[in-house]
Amino acid sequence: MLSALNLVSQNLNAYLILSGLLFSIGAFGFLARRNAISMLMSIELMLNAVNLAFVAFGAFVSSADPSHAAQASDIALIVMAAAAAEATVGLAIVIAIYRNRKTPLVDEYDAMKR
Amino acid sequence: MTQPDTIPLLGLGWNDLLFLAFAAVMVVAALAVVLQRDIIRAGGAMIIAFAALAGLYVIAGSPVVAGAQVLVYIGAISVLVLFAIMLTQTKAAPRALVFQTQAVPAAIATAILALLIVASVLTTDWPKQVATQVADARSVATTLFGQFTLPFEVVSVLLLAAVVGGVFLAKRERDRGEAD
Amino acid sequence: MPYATLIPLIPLLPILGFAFTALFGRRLMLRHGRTAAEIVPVGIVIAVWVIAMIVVVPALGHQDPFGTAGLDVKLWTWIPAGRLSVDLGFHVDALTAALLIVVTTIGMLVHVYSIGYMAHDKATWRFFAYLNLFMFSMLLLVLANNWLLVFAGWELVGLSSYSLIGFWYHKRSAALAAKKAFIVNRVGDVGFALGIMAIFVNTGTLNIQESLAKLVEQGAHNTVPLTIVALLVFCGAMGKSAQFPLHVWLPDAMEGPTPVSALIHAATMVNAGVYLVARANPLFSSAQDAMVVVAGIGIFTAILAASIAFTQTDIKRVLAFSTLSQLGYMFAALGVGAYTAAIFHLMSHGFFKGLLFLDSGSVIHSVDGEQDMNRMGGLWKKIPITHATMLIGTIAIAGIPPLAGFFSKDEILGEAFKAGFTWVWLIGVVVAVMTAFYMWRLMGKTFYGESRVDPAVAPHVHESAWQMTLPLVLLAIPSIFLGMAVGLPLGNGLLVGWLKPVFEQSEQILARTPVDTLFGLPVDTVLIGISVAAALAGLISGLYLFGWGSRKVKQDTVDAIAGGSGASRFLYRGSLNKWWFDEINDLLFIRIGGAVAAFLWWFDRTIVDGTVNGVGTVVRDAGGGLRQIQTGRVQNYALGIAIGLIVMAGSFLLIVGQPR
Repeated sequence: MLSALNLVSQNLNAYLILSGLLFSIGAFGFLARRNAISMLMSIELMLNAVNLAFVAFGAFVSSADPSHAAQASDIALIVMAAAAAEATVGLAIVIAIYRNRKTPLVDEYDAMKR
Repeated sequence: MTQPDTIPLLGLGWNDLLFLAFAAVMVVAALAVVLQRDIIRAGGAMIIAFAALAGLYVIAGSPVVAGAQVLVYIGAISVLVLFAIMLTQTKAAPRALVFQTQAVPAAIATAILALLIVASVLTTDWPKQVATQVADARSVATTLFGQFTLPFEVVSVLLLAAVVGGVFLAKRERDRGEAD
Repeated sequence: MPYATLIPLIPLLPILGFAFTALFGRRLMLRHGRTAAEIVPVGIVIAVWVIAMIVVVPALGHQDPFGTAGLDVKLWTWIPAGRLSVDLGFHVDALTAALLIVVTTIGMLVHVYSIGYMAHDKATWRFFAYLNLFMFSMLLLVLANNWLLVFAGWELVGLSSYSLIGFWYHKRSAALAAKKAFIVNRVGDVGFALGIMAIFVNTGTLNIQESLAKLVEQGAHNTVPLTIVALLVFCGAMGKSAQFPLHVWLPDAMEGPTPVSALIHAATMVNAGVYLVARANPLFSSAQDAMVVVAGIGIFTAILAASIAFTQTDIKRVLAFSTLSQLGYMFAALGVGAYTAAIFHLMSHGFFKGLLFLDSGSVIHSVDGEQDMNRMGGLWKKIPITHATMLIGTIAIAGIPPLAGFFSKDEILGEAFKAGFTWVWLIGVVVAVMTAFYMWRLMGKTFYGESRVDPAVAPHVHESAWQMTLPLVLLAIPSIFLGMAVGLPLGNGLLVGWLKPVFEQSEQILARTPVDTLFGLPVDTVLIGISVAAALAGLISGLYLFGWGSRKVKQDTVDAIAGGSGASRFLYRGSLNKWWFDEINDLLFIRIGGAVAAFLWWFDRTIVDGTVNGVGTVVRDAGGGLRQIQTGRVQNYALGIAIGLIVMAGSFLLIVGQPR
């Protein structure tokens, strides 16, 4: 019945399509949500999508280097660290703005217009 | 990873079944993150999505990344996000206005983006690996502290800067708030 | 090397004094009285005088380290900008030293005099702050070793002159006179600025000595012809030294306090133009056409101003026109190549005209601010010191030997004749007659005859305080002896020796063959005889008309000339109205120029502005439409980015991507 999907877990394309879907969902959230924290969560989704792509490339793309997969993992780890930093600062900014403007809704942050 | 036997009836391997399950959970949870009206539930959905992703990392042969995913994303970032939600949650916020006015064009644009990514993935001829290569903890550690020393150090500085910046932003505003 | 330290101190101290007095003067004066506010600026000027004298003595004697070329003191590189490199530095040679003597000595005496003269003013501190600023500017101008620094000093003296003329700014006429002086000076300064640019274009350097040497060396190969450069520089000199047709500001500048008139508008600032031309003497000597222009304008200003001085009744205005006339003499001397004579006259004139102005200030002070000579008279017994010193000044300016004016004026006239400029000499002699006459007219109307002083004031007429009379006596000394001290033997005195290295090059370029004999007699003897006779003729006719001692003015004769018919009446009225120069300027620049400006304004407003505004309206409306896109919301921009990315990636895939 599902035999067409046999060995799907060993297929690079499957991972990459999944990554693309996750990225698009994140992008949609970033563009559509009004809440600043929702936007930050969407950014986390997009970063995860990129990580998934890295890991998939490391696992399924042939290379002469035996530590190929390990390097992909390293990059994913570093991205995670960067994401953590981004989340820290981003959320601090959101809280700071919230204290000033008493709203978490970004479409009310229109200082750039004034 | 060793190839387990195919599951009867479905004609799939265990890995395949797990992959499909994790993938489905992750996509649904991710959609919940961006579509859920209640932001706390969206935060919960995000944790589920991260957990499913950790499972996918295991299947893809990167147990170290999967572990880090659980620790960093579920353990740290999700908690941070939930705290931020609680600090900024206004009860009076009108629930109907979760989305921007541009939600529909954004949906169309991101759908096209997804199609583009799928199309480019399918049209590209990737150099294929015969079997999954496993990135075990030892080789990850060797490369991270050998080849990737400089990025590792730079990231440590970045984290420090983020900590200082976060403290600075939060503290200053509080002082100003008190002065008001 | 002490001189390298002393020389920068000369301009540095006054600017510090200015800063101190400007910042703390008011507070000091309110809390601790007038003297507290005056002690710093006056003390500083006295210190500057001492330092200047220490520098001047070896500089004039060509001793080490000055030598004949002068001492260069470079402080730092002021403007390092590629090909243009300007140092902040000073150059002291004999010419600078001669100017230093005049500026610091008269400056110091005027400061002391001002203590008495401004004793009843509410803002004495401000006056002294400005005076110190002026001293700084003038010393900077004289000491600078490059054109740009000269120009800076040049503009700064203009500024401080503006502030001082308009010192009593609540008086409308003073405010207007200050503005007039400033604006008329700007006209000349534009020329000077262009001249400096031309010098830079020609030589690539702004250092005075280097650029002059290069200009002369390049001769006809200069990018900008030397005649034009010289005339541009002369433009600046005309403005500052009030030469025709830019002379109109100087008489009005007498609205300022009298010490200012003495210091700035008689003895120092107006000499800046003479100094400038003398400093640039190799340039002028290489451009003989320009020199004829200088001589012509100079001698014309001399006779013009003298003729106006005949009929003025304001004591300070007479002296102002006399200053114009004497400056005209100096320019005539520069124009005929008698640079030393010009500097000689600059020095002696600085002293005796400074003396005359301070005397007039003392007179005005004693008759309670009255400046009209028709309301003076008979003052000579009441203010003896002022009278005596003013008499000395008058005889000096009239050119009666052996006072200072005789030597310098005679040298100018003699040099002009010997250089072949007979017309300059002839007009010069006429001006000498006129000078002696109008100066005696001033003396007669002010000091002699019956008193016409306001009866309410007459009992209070008194000699001024010692702070005022002391400078008068001190200035009378050089007015008597300066000529004998540096001018003897005639044509080969001390001053000639001092200034010889400065003007040596010019003399070589000009290479004049002097005329030795005239009518079988030595030329000098004849010329001196003629000048003395001219001076005496003027003086005696003055004596006849305006009297001396208690002798009355021959009013009938004066009235007969003034009220007569035909030519004499026209001349009198022309002189009285300053030959209608203010009216001509008014017609030229205010009426006609105003009409042109009004038309231009209309053109600008309707045609030019119409076009510009039309373009603006179109752009603004288009922008107003486009502005809707700029929501200021991050997510709208992010969507734009996403769409852009999609379009780019999609077209890349369509064009490059190979379907499998």
